[in-house]
Amino acid sequence: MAFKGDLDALILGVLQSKPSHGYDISKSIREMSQDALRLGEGQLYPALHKLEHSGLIVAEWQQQTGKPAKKIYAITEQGAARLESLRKEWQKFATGVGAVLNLTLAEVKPHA
Amino acid sequence: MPRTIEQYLAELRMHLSGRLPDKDLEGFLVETEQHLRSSVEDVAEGQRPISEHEATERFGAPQDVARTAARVCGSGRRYPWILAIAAMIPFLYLVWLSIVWDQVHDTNLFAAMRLAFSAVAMGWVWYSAATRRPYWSVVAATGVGSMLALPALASYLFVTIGPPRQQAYVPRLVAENYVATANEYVASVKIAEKACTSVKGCFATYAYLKTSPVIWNRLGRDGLFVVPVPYPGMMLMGKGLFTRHPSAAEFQKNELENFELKSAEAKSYAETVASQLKEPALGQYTAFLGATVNFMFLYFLSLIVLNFIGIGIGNLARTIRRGRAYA
Repeated sequence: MAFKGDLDALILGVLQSKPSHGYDISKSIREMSQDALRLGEGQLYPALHKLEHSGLIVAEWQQQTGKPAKKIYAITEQGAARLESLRKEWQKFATGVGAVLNLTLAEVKPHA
Repeated sequence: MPRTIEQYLAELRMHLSGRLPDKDLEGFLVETEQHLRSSVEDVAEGQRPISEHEATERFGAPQDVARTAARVCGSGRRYPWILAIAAMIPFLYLVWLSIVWDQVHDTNLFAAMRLAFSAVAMGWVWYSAATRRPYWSVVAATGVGSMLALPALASYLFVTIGPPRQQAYVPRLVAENYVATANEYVASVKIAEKACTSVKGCFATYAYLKTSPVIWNRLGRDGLFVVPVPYPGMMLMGKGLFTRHPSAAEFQKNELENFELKSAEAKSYAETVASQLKEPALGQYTAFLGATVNFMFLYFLSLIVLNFIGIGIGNLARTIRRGRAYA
């Protein structure tokens, strides 16, 4: 049981607020989730490449003096639409799980 | 295992080389370096700075990162395209074979068709790998393609029964052309035969022009004419005196025999070809379909096995390279 496309949703969610580079994306996810979500950092870049190839995000290299170049990612219109659909999927998933867990909680309360 | 950023990048490059196109590989390494250096430099308030070792450890084992990158970003887009094109060669061979096929020197078309099918399937698998389409689309496309192609293919077939092959599948168009050509030949021989018998008057000149002079001896038989020759000029005189062309009657007789022989051969040939070509029965269609499906199943099975062997060889090569890098 898992929410399919969770990493895609997180990346698109971060990029919707502002264009960012890879490190910023992983940092934002960690901070926004108050350390609840820690991304496998090495897994982030393949996911970004996949989203870029699918046309959900676009990327642009930004040169820096004395440092390695940064690749800045930004969400596209297609990406925003995909995020919206992922949001709906997540809400449905979370509601379903929540309903089952609340019910279980109510059942176990009297015995506790 | 603790690594510095430099060591980590070197190892990641080693794992990724040959698995990503060069441009993507460089981009991936630059991004990784940028990320690792940012991790080290970015010290949040109240937190201790992290070392390069911690940053690389947090990023993940290089082989795991490389595996995910290669899976997601494709195993190089150039090679699958080359393979896809190469896989089409047997299909083109099939087309060529259909054009030049003949009854005597025919390669078994059935085998060629299976080869073409597998080639197309293989091309599609590689193309899908290159464009990162999910594999279920490959299976679905192969299935749908086979269902569409097989009936078309079946209508394209004739079945030959009898020697030299007991049963073979041959292209309908070519087989029909073959029979037509044989029949045309029979007809043309008949016309020539008719002409030969009806135009007797022309035979004297025709025979004279068509034949070489024959040396006849005194008894009127073929053979060397031997006379005592006092000088070379006498020999020429002798030849002129005693050589002649076959008579019109003799020539006509020979020609007629020849036409009859040719006609009998052509008739028998046309009849053999026609008798060997049969419309395939339903059972033969289903046998053909069954054999093809069977073959495709075995083909995919072997593809999976080869894939595993390939992975094994790749891992072995990487282990050897890694050993050399640390040596």
